[in-house]
Parts: sequence; structure tokens; C-alpha cells
Amino acid sequence: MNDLLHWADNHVHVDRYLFETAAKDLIAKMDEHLENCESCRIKVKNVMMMYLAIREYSREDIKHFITINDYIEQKTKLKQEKKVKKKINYKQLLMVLGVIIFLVSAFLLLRNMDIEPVAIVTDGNDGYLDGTISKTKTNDPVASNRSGKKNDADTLSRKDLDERSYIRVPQYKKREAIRVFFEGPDLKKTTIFPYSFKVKFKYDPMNGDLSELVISKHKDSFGNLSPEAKEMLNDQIEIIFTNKIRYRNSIEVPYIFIKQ
Amino acid sequence: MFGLFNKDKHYYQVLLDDNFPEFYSVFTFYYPKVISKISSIDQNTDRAIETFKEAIVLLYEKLKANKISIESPLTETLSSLFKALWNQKYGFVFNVDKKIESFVKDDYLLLLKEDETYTKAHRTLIELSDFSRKLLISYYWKRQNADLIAKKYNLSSSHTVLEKLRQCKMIFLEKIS
Repeated sequence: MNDLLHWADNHVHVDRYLFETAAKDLIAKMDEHLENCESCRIKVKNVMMMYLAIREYSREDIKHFITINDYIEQKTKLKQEKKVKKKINYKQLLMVLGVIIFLVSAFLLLRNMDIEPVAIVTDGNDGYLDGTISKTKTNDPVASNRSGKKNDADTLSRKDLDERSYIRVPQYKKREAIRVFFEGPDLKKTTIFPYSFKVKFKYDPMNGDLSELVISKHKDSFGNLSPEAKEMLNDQIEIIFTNKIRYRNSIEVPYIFIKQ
Repeated sequence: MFGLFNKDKHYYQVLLDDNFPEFYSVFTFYYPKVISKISSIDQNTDRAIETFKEAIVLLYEKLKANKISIESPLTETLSSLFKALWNQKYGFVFNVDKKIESFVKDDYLLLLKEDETYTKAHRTLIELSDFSRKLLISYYWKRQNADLIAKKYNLSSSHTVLEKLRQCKMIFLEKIS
């Protein structure tokens, strides 16, 4: 290095000396020169001072940064703790609500296990017609001997039924309708049918005609349909209540009426 | 074991990437580990916390200067730096590795802080423009190369960076001379 004589004039050399990126023997020579050269020593010292100022400034900056973060961290922890507390409360609340809902649902379900006909549809010819049921095969309206079945505690008055509901069968090949009327409890309760209900079909053993429908709130009320009734119900029946809610069964499962 | 190793790697990378917002995580992760092994000083005192912060900064500087290998266990390194700094500040208490001790002893500031030129230099740095100061810090303290600085400050090339640095340095040195 020819310019080692006053190497401090060269900024690159000063940086190498300062960062110790120069070779060790070269640094040793530089040191040797500095011992004898006041001018270079001052220059190097000034650069060192510059570096020290930069370093100290940056160190304080970082330490300050860590301190700020310390503060932020503490604040965040406090917030998180608060949030955790809130979360626990919410969880507890949800659990309590869940248990209440479960108990209420269980109670309602168990209560519905009791077979409780809400409406009875019977055939009749007394003029209180809320709807009609027709069947494909039968052609004999049996009415006269059914007219007396009414005023049960669980049945509606004919007037109520007249006002509130009717039954119709939309599409049948033969149209020989059996005139029927409802006898059942208050049909306001029909609004609580959540999705479906079951109907028990009663028929006249004498002539095999459909003579009565017993509507049940609970879907498990009537599992089996007699073969005779099945034979009769080879088409769909639609029940339309006065609240315009329609229920329809299927040929496969004629006793279940699904909300449409 | 692997988990710890990975943690060390992660935190070394945090330091090397100048990820300053994460420096605090280095503190929170290693401070309890280091301090729990040192029974002779009170934990969580301001002195201990402050010294540990300084140890992190010193670690960062020495990493940047390639004086510390990233293969060395970080807990041990920080512990040694902490002890060396503690010895320096509060009198000899701990036996420390000579290499680490030299890092602290080489601290120019301890030797020259009282110098009048240093006071001037400190004032001059504060008086510099924000850009010039950042440029000098990036190059001299963060040891970032000129290409990286050019990208960071949208400068056309590394030559431009070096030229700007030279100008800043000249102005700086003129002011403190």
C-alpha cells in the first residue's frame, strides 16, 4: 500500500480500519503509522467520533424502541387478560343457555310423546264441510252413521273448523268425494306443527271406505297403516289450513304430511 | 432440543434482518432464561433489565460485524455479554469469556466519550437531515450494503449511495473538525 503514508486521507481505508475488514498485518501497519502521524490520528479520531455518535444514537433508539414495546406489551397483556375474562363469561353464558335450550327441547319432545290428536277428520253429511277427501277406488260416501262423532274434549267445534281449515285432494282420477268434517282440538295449535304431522286413516270395515282422519302432532304417533287404508290412499292428499299452510303426504308414506 | 435450536436461529435471523420491532421478543424470550441462571444478582431490577437490553444491542452489533457466529447458543452468548457488561458497569462480579470481554472493552465510547469532539459529533448527527442521518446509520451501524440501501431509499444504484455517503461524511467531518 503506497498511500499508507497518510492513509487516513482515504475514506475507504479509514472504513476498513474502523470495521476491521482490512488484513491484520495491514491494520498493524496502520496503527504504527497513526502512532507517528498526528494528522492521520486526528482524522481517524474524527471518523471514530462520527461512528460513535451514530452508534450511540442508534443504540438509544433501539433501547427506547424496546422500552416502548415493553409498554405496549404490558398494555396488550392487560387487554388480552380482559378479553380472556370476557370470553370465559361468554362461554359460561353460552353453556347455561345451551343447557336451558336442551332442557326446554327435551321437555317439549317428551311432552309430545303423548299421543294427542289435535284434529279428527271424519266423514259425514251434516253440511259442516271444511274440506273434502276423495279416494280413487271408493264410490260410496258413508256419511250418515258418522254424524254423531263430535264434542270430544280434544276436538274442535264444527264452527271453528268451518272457519279455520279444510282438506282437499288436488288430483284424483275419480272424483267421488266423501264429505268430511273436522272434530278436533283448537286448530290454532296447528301453527305449531313445525314441519310435518301424521294422520291416522280410519276406514269403514263394512265397505272399506275412508271414514276418518286423525291428525296427530307427533310424528311417531302412527307407524303402521293398515293394508286396506294403504290401498285406498294410492294418491296424494293435501290438507290446507286456514292459515294457508299446506301439508301434503306421499304415496309411499301416506300418513306423514309434510309442510309444503 | 431441536425446538430450542430453531428458536435460536429464528432470533438470530430477527437480529440479522434488522427486524427492530421483534427485538423485544428476543428480550422477552431470553431474559428469563439468562437471568434465572445468574443467582448473584436480583432479577427484574432496573439495572438487570437495562444491562440485558444493552447486551442485545451489543449482540446485534457484533453479529453485524461477523464477530459472533450464529451457530453459538444464543442463551450462552447473551449471558456472557450480560455478564461482561455488568462487570464493566458495576464492577467485577463474573468470570467471562475473554473474547466476549474484549467486545465490551473495545467499546470506544467508554474510552472517548468525554472527548469534546464526541460531543460535537453527537450534536452534528442530530442536526443532519433525516435522510443523511438514516443513510449514515444504515451504512455504519446496521452495516447494510450499498445495494440494499439503494433499494430502501429508492436510489438509482449502489454508486449513488456511496457518493451520497461520501458527501454526508465530508459534511459531518468538516463540522466536527
